[in-house]
Amino acid sequence: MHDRPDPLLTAASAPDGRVLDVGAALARAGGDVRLLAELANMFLEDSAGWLADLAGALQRGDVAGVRFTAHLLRGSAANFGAQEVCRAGRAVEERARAGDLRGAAASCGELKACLLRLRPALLALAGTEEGNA
Amino acid sequence: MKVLIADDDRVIRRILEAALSEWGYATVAVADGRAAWEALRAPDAPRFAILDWLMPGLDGL
Repeated sequence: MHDRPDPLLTAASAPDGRVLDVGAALARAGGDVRLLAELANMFLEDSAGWLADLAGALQRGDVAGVRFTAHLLRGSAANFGAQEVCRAGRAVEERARAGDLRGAAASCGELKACLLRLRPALLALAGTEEGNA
Repeated sequence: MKVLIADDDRVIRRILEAALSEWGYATVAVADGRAAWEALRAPDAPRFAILDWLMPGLDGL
């Protein structure tokens, strides 16, 4: 199951462990800084909802919901080269796939922490005051 | 030519919309498989579609 490289990670990963890869993100946006800011804002808005959806699915014991939302979140994060978030999201997805919801909940905690670390960098991309402070 | 984009992630939809319009294509973007199916059955439907696999309701396959 773990033999093949994850295309979401290999396609857009930060080579030096930064929370995101601005070069990869800008390339995804076709070199358009304003579009990248728009995308960063979208991810900031949507990821909060996805985390809430994940928490709800975990609480309900909804394995498919956990897998689906974790997959969506890490796929979106890959557009920013957010390797750490992608890795944590993948862990949630794989633990849910294995039926290990306690493990998925633990990985979800790590995913939240990764998203918190990513947030300032995304705010900076989005050009908000909080990100530029 | 009009291109259908179906993906439940609006970041990806926006990236594809921007790239395709830069290349001169008109786009129709939807967020789930059922809306994609409706768009493909509509009069003057797009003849080319970029479909996500995992989507709510109806998948891209």
